[in-house]
Amino acid sequence: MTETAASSLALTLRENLRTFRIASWLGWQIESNWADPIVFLIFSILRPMAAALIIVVMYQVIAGGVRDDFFEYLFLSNAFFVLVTQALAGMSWTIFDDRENYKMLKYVYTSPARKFAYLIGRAVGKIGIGILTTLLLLAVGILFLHVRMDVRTIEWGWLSVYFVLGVIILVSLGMVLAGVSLVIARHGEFIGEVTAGSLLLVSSAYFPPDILPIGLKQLSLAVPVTYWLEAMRRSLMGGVLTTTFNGARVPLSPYLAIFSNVDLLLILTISAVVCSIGSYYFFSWVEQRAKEKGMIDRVTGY
Amino acid sequence: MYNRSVHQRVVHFLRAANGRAYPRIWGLSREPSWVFFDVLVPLLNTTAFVFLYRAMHAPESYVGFVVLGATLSAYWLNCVWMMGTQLHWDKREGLLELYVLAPVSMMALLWGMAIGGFYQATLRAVAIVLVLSIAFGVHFDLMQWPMELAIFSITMLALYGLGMALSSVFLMWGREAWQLALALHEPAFFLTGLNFPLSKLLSSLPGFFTFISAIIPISFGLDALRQLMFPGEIAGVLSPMQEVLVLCGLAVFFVVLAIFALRRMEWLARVQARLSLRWQ
Repeated sequence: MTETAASSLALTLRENLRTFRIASWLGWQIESNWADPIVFLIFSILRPMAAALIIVVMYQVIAGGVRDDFFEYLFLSNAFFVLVTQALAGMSWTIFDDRENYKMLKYVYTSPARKFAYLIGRAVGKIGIGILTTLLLLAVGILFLHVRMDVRTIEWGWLSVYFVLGVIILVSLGMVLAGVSLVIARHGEFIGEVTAGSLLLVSSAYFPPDILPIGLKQLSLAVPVTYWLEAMRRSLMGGVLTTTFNGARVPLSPYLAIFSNVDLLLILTISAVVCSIGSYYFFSWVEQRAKEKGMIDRVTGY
Repeated sequence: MYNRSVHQRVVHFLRAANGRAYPRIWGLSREPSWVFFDVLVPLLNTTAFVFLYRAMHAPESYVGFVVLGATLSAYWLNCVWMMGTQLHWDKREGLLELYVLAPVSMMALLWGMAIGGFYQATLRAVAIVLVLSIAFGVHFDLMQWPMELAIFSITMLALYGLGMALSSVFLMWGREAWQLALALHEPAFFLTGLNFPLSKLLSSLPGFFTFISAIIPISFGLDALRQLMFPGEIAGVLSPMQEVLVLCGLAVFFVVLAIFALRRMEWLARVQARLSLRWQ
């Protein structure tokens, strides 16, 4: 009996891995094969690079030649926020794309493909582009914009752990949005952008949560992405970012500075576990609802 | 051979334009959730930029610059997505074949799209400007409103002329159209100085980028409007009157370009059998 259960588990795992692998390949082809690699690379980094330049110019216009840690805060947050947008908008877009554009979602459902693994696999291409863009932005920041990041002070261990936990959280949140896209008739293509836009405001990507009005500040401190961005900034810069106030160095965000690295690890680990389990059950539930209501092959023409 | 009089041609053109504008105008009232989604995204993004300026202790006029920039961005996005890519979408949905079969001018359809799209974008822009002005206490100087209205109108004419020209170019493309439309977001926001004074940007960019910035109508339109609505708070690239002249030139250029580009691209699309080609 135990042997049968183990064999069944191995089969399930193998099926999931196979679906994941093929969906990743498919996602990558859809993302990339519309142009030759150079054009594709240019188009992939054009938007995030321009977004980074916008905030760099905004900073330079106000700060002039004066530089403090706030520039690093801004630049690093923006570089990692690319991944947030790619994961959230990418996964919800997958449903819309497959259902409305290529009209193949119903065929995926009639195949033996594992749907959860399929969706994650389809998002791999976008997340891969997101990671590449983040790395390119960091390189541009260090080489041309003098972002003060020292390879010797980077906390590689924390960085690796935080990064993996962050990706799990983002993929899980993306899966929730994909589930929502499955059961709404209209605007499915906007959900990822709206959520990423909301997170841009409340995750303290561009400014410390301390300056937000009280309601938004509490909301900011309830969002895992806030802690993830802080964790990425801290591990890359080798500590809490500071600014000068009344001649003394104080943390840029006193609210976030009270969390130690271990606190951040705990918060992100709990968030990752809750988000991944929650998203799995949520997606399974909405998927069932979509089947019951005949929404899998619906084309709204939007 | 059946020959129509000029009067008949004009009436036919206007009826076709009206027919294409109709679903865009009335569709909004039938599905108001469009407005919610169209307004929410720019509101959230703009609010983030406002808080960024506040975190940097920028002068309050910069909040006004950002709000005005967000207002005009509604028209830019409408121009890219509801004009530029529209014929591409229509092709994918199978509507383009019907347009070509119908005895109407494609230019009339483009004008209809532009009028309907302008109406949609205006609803969005009004909502953005109202909400953000009230939320952040932005004060616009409207003492020179006839001039401001004239600048806005000429900017819109040039912008939608550009949109019409883009739609014919997008007609030829497959999935690249989507990528190109996306690439016209942040890079255009950057080059038009949507979130900061244009003069600060152009003074530090190579000439090629200045040229690209100058041919996007939003750049000089926004710069001129900022100079008039926030007097003494911003140094313009040119004087408002000079910028109006550039915008007039752009308006004529883009509308004429749209007429020729549409003819050329439609012909090419027929020759290469792309009018009904989907999913390529």
